[in-house]
This record gives sequence, C-alpha cells and structure tokens, in this order.
Amino acid sequence: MAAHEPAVSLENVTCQFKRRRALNGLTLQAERGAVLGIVGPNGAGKTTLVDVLCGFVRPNSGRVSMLGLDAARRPHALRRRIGVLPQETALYAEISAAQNLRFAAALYDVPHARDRIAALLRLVGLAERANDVVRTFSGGMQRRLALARALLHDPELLILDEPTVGIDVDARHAIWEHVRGLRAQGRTVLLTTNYLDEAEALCDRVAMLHDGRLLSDDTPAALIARAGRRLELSCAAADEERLAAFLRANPAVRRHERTAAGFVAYVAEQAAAESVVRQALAIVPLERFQTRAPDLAEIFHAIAPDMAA
Amino acid sequence: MRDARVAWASARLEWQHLGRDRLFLLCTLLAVVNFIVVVSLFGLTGSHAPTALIDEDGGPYARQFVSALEQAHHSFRLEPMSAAAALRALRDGRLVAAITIPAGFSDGAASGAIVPIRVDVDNVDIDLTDDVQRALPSAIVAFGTAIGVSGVHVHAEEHDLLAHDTDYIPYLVVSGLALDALVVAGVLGALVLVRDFEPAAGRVDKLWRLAPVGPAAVLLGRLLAAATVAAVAVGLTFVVVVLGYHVSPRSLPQALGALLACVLIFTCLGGLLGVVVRRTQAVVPLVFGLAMPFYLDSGALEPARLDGERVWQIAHLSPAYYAIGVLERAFHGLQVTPEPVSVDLLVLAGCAAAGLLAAGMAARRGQPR
Amino acid sequence: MSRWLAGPRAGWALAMNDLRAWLRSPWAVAAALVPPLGMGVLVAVLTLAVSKQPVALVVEDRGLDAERMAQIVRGDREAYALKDMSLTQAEAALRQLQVAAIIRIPDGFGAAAATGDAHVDLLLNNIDVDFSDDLRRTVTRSVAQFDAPELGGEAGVKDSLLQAAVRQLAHPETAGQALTATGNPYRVAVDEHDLRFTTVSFMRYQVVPILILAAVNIGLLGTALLCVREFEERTIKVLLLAPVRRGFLLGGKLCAGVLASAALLTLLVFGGVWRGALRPPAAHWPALIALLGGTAVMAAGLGVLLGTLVRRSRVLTVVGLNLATALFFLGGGFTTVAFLPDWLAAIARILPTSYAIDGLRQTLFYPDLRGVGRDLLVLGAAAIGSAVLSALALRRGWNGR
Repeated sequence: MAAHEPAVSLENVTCQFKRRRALNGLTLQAERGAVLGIVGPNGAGKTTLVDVLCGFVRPNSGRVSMLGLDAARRPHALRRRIGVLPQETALYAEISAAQNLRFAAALYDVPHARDRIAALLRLVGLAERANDVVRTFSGGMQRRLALARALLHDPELLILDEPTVGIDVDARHAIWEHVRGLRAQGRTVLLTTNYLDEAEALCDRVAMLHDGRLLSDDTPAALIARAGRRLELSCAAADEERLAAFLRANPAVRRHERTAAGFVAYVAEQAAAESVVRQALAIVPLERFQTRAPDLAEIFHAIAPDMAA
Repeated sequence: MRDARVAWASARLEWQHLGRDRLFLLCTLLAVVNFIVVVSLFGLTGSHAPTALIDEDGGPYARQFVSALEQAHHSFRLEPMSAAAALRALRDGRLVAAITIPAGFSDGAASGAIVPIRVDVDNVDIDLTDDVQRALPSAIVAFGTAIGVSGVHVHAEEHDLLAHDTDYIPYLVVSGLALDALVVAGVLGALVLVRDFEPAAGRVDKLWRLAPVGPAAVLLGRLLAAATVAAVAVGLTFVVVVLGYHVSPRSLPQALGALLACVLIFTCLGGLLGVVVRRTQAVVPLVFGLAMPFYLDSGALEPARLDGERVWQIAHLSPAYYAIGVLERAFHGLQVTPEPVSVDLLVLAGCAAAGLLAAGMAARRGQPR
Repeated sequence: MSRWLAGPRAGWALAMNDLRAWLRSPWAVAAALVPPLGMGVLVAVLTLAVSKQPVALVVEDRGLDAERMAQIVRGDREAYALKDMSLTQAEAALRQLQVAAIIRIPDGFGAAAATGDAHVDLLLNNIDVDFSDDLRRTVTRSVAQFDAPELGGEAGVKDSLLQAAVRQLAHPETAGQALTATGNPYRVAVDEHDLRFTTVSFMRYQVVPILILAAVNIGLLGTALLCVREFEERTIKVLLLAPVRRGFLLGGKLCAGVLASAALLTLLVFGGVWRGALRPPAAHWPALIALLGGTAVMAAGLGVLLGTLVRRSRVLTVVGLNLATALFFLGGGFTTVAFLPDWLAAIARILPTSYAIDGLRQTLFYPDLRGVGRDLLVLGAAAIGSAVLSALALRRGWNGR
C-alpha cells in the first residue's frame, strides 16, 4: 500500500434493503495510522457501514477499498489483515476464554499461537480467567476478550463496532487504553460510537452519518466547536423575560432555547460562556448556572437543525 | 384478575410472534399431517405380506387354494410371477415369501393324496416369518373345508367380543393423533418458554422475573398461545383423519374433548421441559426422542396390557397411555385401557396441572444459566 | 506447505470447537442418547407385542384328546404367552385386558373328536384386526395340528409323534386313537425353504432403526442446530471474517456432526455386539463400518444444509422434525419399504436413509453384500450434494442482522 493511500476508502457507496436506503452515496476515507470515529443517531447507517467493510453486505453501487485492496475483488486477502470487534462480541459462550482464542488462532493461522494468546490475555487483563467459561464473564470482560480476539492475528486495520456499549466505566477506560496503545503502534482503527467523550478521547477524526449520508467529517474538537459550549441558566420566574431578551441580544450567544429548568444557550467557547454569565448577573439575579461540552445529539442539532427536527 | 390480564397479554404477545412467523406455522401444520401419514405406514407392514405366487398347476384345486390364501386373515398380497423372478425379488428383500403350487396339485388333491407346496421364505424378520408360517395352515384348513375333505376331527369356532374388527390403519391413526398432540404441543410448549432463556433472544426471562406478578401468569399465557397453535394443527389432522382416512368418531364431543385435553397437557409438559432444559438445541431432540417410546409404549399399536404386565405398568408413566385410552374410546368405542375413560381423563388433567405447577416452580429457580 | 494446511486446520478447529460446546451441554448429550435408548426400550416392548399374545387356556374336558389338544396349544410357545385358567377367571382377565383371547377346550371334546365334530372355542377381544388376525392364524394352525401335526412345522411333528408314543406307552388301549395324530386330512402339506440358516430375531432386526434414528437425530438435527446457533448467536461473523475458504468451514461443521454421530454409533455398535444384537458375518465388518460412516456423513451433510438454509432454530425445529420423520419412517426405519404402495415406495427410494437401511440390513442379515456398493455410492453422493448446496446457501450472504 502506498504511504499516501488511505487505509479505508468508500466512494459513493449505496446500500438498499428493500425500500430502505441504508447507505446513500457515502464517500469517506480513513487515513493510515489514524483513529476514525463513526457517529450518528440510530438508523444513520453505522452498522451497515461496518457490515460493508466486513464483507457481510455487498453494496448496490460504489467502490470500497481497504489497505489498498478492492474489498469486492480481494475479500479473502483482506480478511487476514483486518480485525473486527463486533457489537455483540460473537464469542462462544460454552467454552473458555483460552479456547475461544485458540479457535480464532486456528482460523487465522496465527504462528506461535500459545504465546500470543497468553500475551493478549495479559494485555486485556484476563490471564487469571483464561480457563473460565465465557458464559460466566461480565459484559466488560466479554468485550475485552473479543478485543483480544480481534488483535490476535496482529491486524493492520481494526474495526470496532460500538466497543464500549453497555459496559462499566472501568472496563470502558481499559478498552480506551488499548485503543490508544494501538494508535501509538501506528494501527488504523475505525470505531463506531454513540458517545462523544469516547470520540473525543480516541479519534483523530469523526465522521457523522445521517440517513446513510456523510453529514460531516472533522476533528472532534472542531465538531464540538461547531455546536458550541452549552450554558445552562435559571432565574426567578419574574426575571425570565428580561433574561430571554438579554440572550437574544447578546452576539456571543449562537442560539438559545427555553427549557423547563430555565434557559440553554450555546456559545463558542468557555471564555465566552463566562463572559455571558457575568453580563447576565449584572441584569438579573441568576439562581443557577453551569457550562459543559455538548453531547452528540446537541452537535447533531447544531450541524443539521432541519434534519434533527 | 390482574394475573388473568397478564396471562392474556402474554398469550397475545406470543400469538403476534407466531403470527409473524408464517413459515414456522406452515411447517408445524405440515409436521402433524406428516406424523399421521408415517404412523399409518406401520399399518401396512402388519398384514398383506408381499408374496410371490408361482402357480405351475393352474387347475381348479390350485385356484381354490389361491382363493384360500387370499382370504387367510389378510396375510398375503399375492403377486403372480415366474420362479426365477420370485427368487430374484426374494433375494433383493422385495418379497417375504414365494409360494409354488406344483404341477399336478389339482390331480393329487382330487385323488386324496397329500400334495406338498413349496414355500420359500426370507426369514430375515421373525415377525414376518411367523405370519407366513401361521397363515399357511389357515389357508390349508380353509382349502380343506372348501373342498369338503373328510377325516377332520376338530374345528376352531370363533366368538368375537366386539361386533366387528377395527382395521389396523384406523386404529393407528387415532393413536397417531395422540402422537401428533404429544410432539407438536410438546415442542411448541417447550419452544415458547425456552426462547426466553436463550442468550440470542436477550434473556427475556429477566423481564417477567422482574415484573410484579408471579411467573405462573406469564407462563400460562405463553402456553395458552402455544396450545392454540397446537390445537389448530391437531384439528387439521383430525380433519385429515375424518376426510382422508374416513375414520369418524363415534362421539364427536368426546373425541374433540380428548384431543383438546391432550394438546393442553402436552403443551404444559413441553413447557416444563423447556424451562428445565432452557436450550432449543437440546429440548427439540429430547421431545422428539422421548415421544417415540412414550407413544409406542402406550397402547398405540395394541392395548398396552397385552404386551405384558411389566410393560403395562411402565405405560402408566406415559400420559400418552391415558390419551390413547380416551381417543380409541371416542373414535371406535374401544376399551384399550382397563381403567375407565373417566379415570383416564382425570389423570390427564392431573398431568397438565402438575406440568404447569412444575414449570412455574422451575421458572422461579435461580438465575438463568 | 503450512499455508496449504491452514484451511484444513481451521476446519478441524471448528469441528473441535463444536464438539466442545456440545459436550459442555449435558442436556444436548442427553438429547443425543435418549432417543436411541428410548428406541431400544421401544423395540424390546415391540418384541413382546409382535411375537406373542397373552391368551387364557381353559381346558374343561379331562380326556386324552383334550389333553393332546391342550399340549399342542401349550407347545406353541413362540405364539402364545399362555395362562391356564378357569373360565370365570379367563373371562375376568379378558375384560381387564390381561389376555387378548380365551382358547377353550370344552367339556365333551374327546367324545366329539371321536365323531369328527369337536371344536375349540376362541373367544377373541377383536380390538384391532392386526393382533386379532395373528391370533386367528395361530389358533387355526394349532387346531389343524390336531389332525395334521406337520402343519405345525418340524416341531409340531416331533411333539405330536412323541406325545403319541408316550400315550401309547401309558394307555395301550388308546393306540387306535393315535392314528388321528398322524396323516393330513387337508391334503396339502408345506415344504418350507428358508433363505438363510438362522431366523433373525425381531430384536436383532430392529437394531437397524435404532442406528438410523441415532444418525438422524444427532447427525441431522444436532448438526443443523449447531449451524443455526452460529447465526443466532452471531458467531457466524467470526467465521465469515476469517481468511478461510467457506468450503473448509462447512467441512469443519460436517466433521463435527460426523464425529458426534460416529461416536454415538460406535457406542451403540459396541452395545449391540456386547448384547448379541449385532452379529454380522466377520467378512462384513468393513462394509458395515463403511455404511455407518456413510450414514453419519450423509446425515451431517443434510444437517449442515438444513442449518445454513433455515438459520433460525424455531423454524429449523419444525422443518427438521418433518425431515427427520420422513427420513426415518418413510426411509424404512420402522416400516418395510417393500410393503408400501408402489408410489410411496418410489418416494422412499429417493430418500438416502432407505439406502442406508437397505445396506445395513444386507450387511447384517444376508450372506452376501449385494447392492452395498450402490448404497454407499448414494450415501456419498447425498453427502457431497448436501455440502455443495450448503456452500451455495452460505453464498446467499448475510447482512449481520
């Protein structure tokens, strides 16, 4: 693969399931050695995109290439070079962790499998439970084991489908650490997620999908900046009209809305938020105020208000 | 009242599930008809053994003897053929026996001599061999009587307990209805409950474990839905039996009641197996595998007690025994269990209640595996 | 070299994986063992049902002829499970279904026999025609033996002559009556020629269906359910993502089914040999092993095909039950194909189990191996055909949902 060539490239890919168009002319690239996050609401096409990359679904049109190989023509050669952590882990529940990995090692013809399995089990913190039946594992342990399996054959490209969904904070952070380690090794990682903090913590770029189309492709910071900082304010009922008028007139406020608890305003950055609070305090006595980064839904709302509606 | 509402909601949900799965329903209906057809095949093996007839005489006494063979208690299906063809067919396992009426048979018989007929038997199966060996003397006696031989000192005089014989296939298809109910209701009862425990279905059992109602109401609803589908399937078989096999029940209410009772009981017992085993992979072969001995050790082929006291005692463990007792009574007016029908019905109801109770208790137990 | 072996190694790993998963589920193992064991019980029950009928013998006449008649009936131990009773006891037993019939030798039998007018009463509970006919044939034969002992076969002749000799010794004055025990007033005798030296007992004959049921239950239903599990638990993703040709994966699945069936069949064969139910000629063992292997491969092949086509355990259950029933019953597991109407026999001939059953019977019960080559060919073709169709079914794609 040439150095400048992207690790993953989709050109105008369309997938139609009966009447539903899951991917609609999607064009997307993931650079080599980078972590690309795929985000979007349910039904945006994330899972279909992963299925296309894995070869489970053949697109109706368009071109998919990975690691310099055409996915439609060279699926067999590609499989050896990619590792996948499916959303549902797809582990054999009745056998042990080590047996699951030994089976995968046989499928991928992994050399020195015994050593490699031991090393990966240590890496994901499951060495002590190697001989326990997977059925007895927690959700987080199962996900870590599935990650170990995806890494077993030392793939150049790793596809992680919602790797931290439904697991506890510790397990989540452990998986993040593994992904960061992979990035440090120069692997390409493509991950789908519903958590903005995860995208922010792990991804070099984030592609946002909606209705099978690419809505935006940017760095996490730029994406967050596009939505702005969220500022929540509340005051006495008698002062609400004055506060609303202030927010309407303030040029630092990109948009604002009234909620049951008071007002929500979006500003460009933290400093602007602090400035807006100071000015507001001069006009009305605020009962409460706080700022935080926007979540995915808010970013989505900011980028595509029409679609979100 | 609340439990009844939960049971009804649970049944409705299951109906919706089943209603969306047309292929499953279609195959279920096919399965019940399939069972009846294959069960009735067994009826073809008990009589009319395929037998070659090589008539080298062709005279009037030979014809008389052939007629006696044909009337020897449904024993032979005679196929005239040459000696060579008969031997070939016999060696290929296509015939049970070949009977050769030798040349000069008629003359010999007319002169009062004893004429031997050659019988080649494929004695691979003792049951079939016995039938042939016992049927031939019957035919010979009938032949002797027909031609008015002298010197016979003893005759058999038959007195039947019932006004007419029940043909074997009609007898079998009625007991086959019990097998249908056993397999279809058993499998459906197991499937509607086992699914909740499967990891692939997301362990839905947790939902009703957490709900502020006992599991019995949910189980009852599920089993009711399964029983409905099983009842429709068995109902279809009933129609096949009546219209296809021309076997009509003597007492329609009793027959329908017995079938419905069978469906309910076997659904409950299937449900019990479902919550105990909790894996489709195991429960289906188990139901199928258990159904066969249960069915055949229940008086399906003839009254169980005629197979010996020990077999009869074991048969009491099988609900199919009581079901067949009720069904044969309802269809043919036959008493195939020494126990009265009312006792059979009571035991069936008891089995259903015990199955439901045990399923409820098994469902309560611990965390799902 | 290593690369070439990667595919087979992956297939073998899949087979071992399946077997491990299967062995870890005690209920799945029980499901494999229960049907053939149940079938064994069933065959034992049927052996009782098809060969002997419980009959009450009521002897009211005390004369020698009545005694001889009673001895003839008692002598047919293969036909009757006989109980000597009084008429009252016998009638009660008939009502309670303890006996299927009463054979009554009435008072005055001897006197009537002397004038050629004796009769033996058969009071029959004619519930179904099958066992009623069995009894009619048997009782008619017993009665005919009184005048024509040879109609009871060789044993009948010997018994009769022996009794006549004993009677003459004990009662010289009855020597004249002994004439009624010899000769044959019916003018027809039976000259029986058996195709083989020994008659195969019903129990031994039914070993074949037990073996077939085991193969169908585990080879077909078990393998199909193992395949479906991959789809339902999404582990198929792992298989499809692996750089292994699908043929090897299907081969692995097939191998798991074959190994499970072969293990079970081996167990049953050892049990059969130990209990004396399986006694093929020594030279037939290789053919028997090949046939059992072919049957296991055929059943597992059909299982893989069914599993990859259906992909849902619920639907598979009923489709599998239909197929297993047809393969078992219509294939001849519990019926004799030759007895079926021509059109049904033609359908049976399409089913690979009918060839497995034919081949096993030929190997176990017949002196030569005629047709076994053809049976093995059909079984092999069915397995290969199933594997090819399975590969095509797997190409159908999978959208991961």
